[in-house]
Amino acid sequence: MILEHHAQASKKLSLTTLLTVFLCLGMLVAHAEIDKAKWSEGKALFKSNCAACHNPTADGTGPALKGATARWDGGGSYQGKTGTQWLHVWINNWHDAVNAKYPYAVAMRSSRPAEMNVFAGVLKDADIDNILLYVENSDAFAAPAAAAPAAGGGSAQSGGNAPGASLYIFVLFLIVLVAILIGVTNRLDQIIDEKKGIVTAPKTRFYKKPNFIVAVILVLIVYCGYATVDWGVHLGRQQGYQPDQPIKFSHALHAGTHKIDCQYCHQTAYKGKNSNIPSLNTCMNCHKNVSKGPKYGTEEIAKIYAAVGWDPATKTYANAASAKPVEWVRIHNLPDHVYFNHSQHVNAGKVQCQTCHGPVETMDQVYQYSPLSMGWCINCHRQTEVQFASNNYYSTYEKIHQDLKNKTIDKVTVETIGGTECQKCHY
Amino acid sequence: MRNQIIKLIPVAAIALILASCGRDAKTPGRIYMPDMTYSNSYKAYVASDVPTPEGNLMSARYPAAKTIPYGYIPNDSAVRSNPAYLMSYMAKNHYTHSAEKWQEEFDRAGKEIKDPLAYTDDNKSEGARLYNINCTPCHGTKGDGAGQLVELPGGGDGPFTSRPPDYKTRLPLENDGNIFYVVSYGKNMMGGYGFQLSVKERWQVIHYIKSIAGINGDDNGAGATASAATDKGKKDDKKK
Repeated sequence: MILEHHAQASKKLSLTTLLTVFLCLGMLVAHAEIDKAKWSEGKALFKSNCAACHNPTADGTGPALKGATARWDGGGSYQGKTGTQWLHVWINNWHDAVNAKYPYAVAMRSSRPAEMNVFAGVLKDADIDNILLYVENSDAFAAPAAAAPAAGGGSAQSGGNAPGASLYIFVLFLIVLVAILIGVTNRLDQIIDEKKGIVTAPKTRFYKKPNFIVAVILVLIVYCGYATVDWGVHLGRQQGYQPDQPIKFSHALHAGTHKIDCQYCHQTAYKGKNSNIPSLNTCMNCHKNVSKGPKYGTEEIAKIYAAVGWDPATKTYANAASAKPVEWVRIHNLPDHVYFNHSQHVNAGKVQCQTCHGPVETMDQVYQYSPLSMGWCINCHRQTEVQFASNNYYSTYEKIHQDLKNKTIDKVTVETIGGTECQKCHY
Repeated sequence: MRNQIIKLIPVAAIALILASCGRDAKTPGRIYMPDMTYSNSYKAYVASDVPTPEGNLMSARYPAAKTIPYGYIPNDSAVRSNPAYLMSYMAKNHYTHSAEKWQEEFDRAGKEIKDPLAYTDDNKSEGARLYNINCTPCHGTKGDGAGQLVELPGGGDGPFTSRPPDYKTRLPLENDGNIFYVVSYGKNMMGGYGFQLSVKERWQVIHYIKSIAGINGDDNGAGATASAATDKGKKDDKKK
């Protein structure tokens, strides 16, 4: 079965490879007539002059440009100039085209609130031709598709390390099955014996034997004792807690694939006691532009737009009146009688986010990685060496600095500077 | 046979009990003392019991009317040139951000706002740290607009379809005040960072991006480094 699976996978793989190769070949043939030197020059010019507002295939501040030449040609001749020539006029200085009242240019101007830059003196006519060549055939010499990021990093769907209830049920089902089969074979043996005319003394069933009963009771006592202690210890802890969030936001995509820093969104981790859940305007810094994700398409990003009142069609906050907050589910929760300060750990302690939160950059759906129990806190405070030497924060700890110099102590842990005293966290 | 099935019932019951012991990852689980874990006072990011005027349960509320922010200095023309005033909540209180008034406010900021922060190595290195967190996804580590969201490491197009201009060509065209306004409120496809970065942090970032654009730190305006040609470009840009 596994072999079959492999064979299927490799078949699929080879099929995709073939398809890709054919597609690439097809593209090469189709664009054989494009001058690569001109195309590359156009691409470079496009990137430095136009790409801030335009994209060949996507709407940004300005419209998507692929097909622009044909659209302007469709605008028709006017005052002895063809549509393409008017497009050149527009790119040089769009005011000229509008002032001359070329109908397509006038319509273009009124369709967008943002005004285009003026490129007269920056771009020559040949430059504009090269840019248009690139814009119309932006994928002609595309980078290999292998550069595209895999959607999501490793999947970390199963929450903590506790096996699911289904596993227990399956194991029990197997045990029951084995018991039934033993029963059936015994019964068959008995029938065979009866047929042969052998009369055997009635056997004592195995579960009626005292040894077995004692063993079962012992196992049950041990298990129940363990379960009670385990349950008691975990009461009040939420390790592995992995609730469904209102938006299927993937940290694996944002922090893993795209390598966006944790503090881009959670900037109060270094500023204050609480690390923040980012407000929606932080999402909109990028999602004003990016409206489609690799996994759920526009579905999940549309939820941000609905919550913040953004209208993707007009690219304005037109629906602000119907905006309402996203009710994220808080995962990490310390009891109220514990003081914890993020900025202290991030700034003075220089602790990495992952030390406590685990490999968030691989989590599609975030779960609580650490137990957040007192033992866990204390353990880390005992073992973690404080970056003491060149850390301004600890410059006033004169005695410890002296001890370090005299070599009476060889390292400073959080415990050395009072990190295990009750009042540090409980007051 | 029937006998055997009846005998299996206790086994099945034990199985059911054991199976129900597994923890459900979708719920936070039970706690010893709810009143100690979930206190009566509101904690950050926990829903409130009292709805806001807008009708939602956010515990983050607007401060009471006429609350003065920490470090606030009144908007008086006599203190406008005071560095402390320039470092205060000025931008939040005295400039507005709406799509219609963007250009007007951008120009005003270019004239009025002067860089209040001293050019020191500490400010620049803090600016570099903040730049690498907040700006590199789009602007790239070199400030050329090749951030990892714009251009994938292999050279392909990233998900972000607008490519920021190169600082080397763009920044010399602007006054410090203009740059500050854009960092605070955004421009075109760029979002505003007034929420993420304090006024001081924004100036630190500006110090750093000016250094990677090769602009002399103490240059407080566009004039000094901009040649005649770029001056023309600047005028054109102002028309925009």
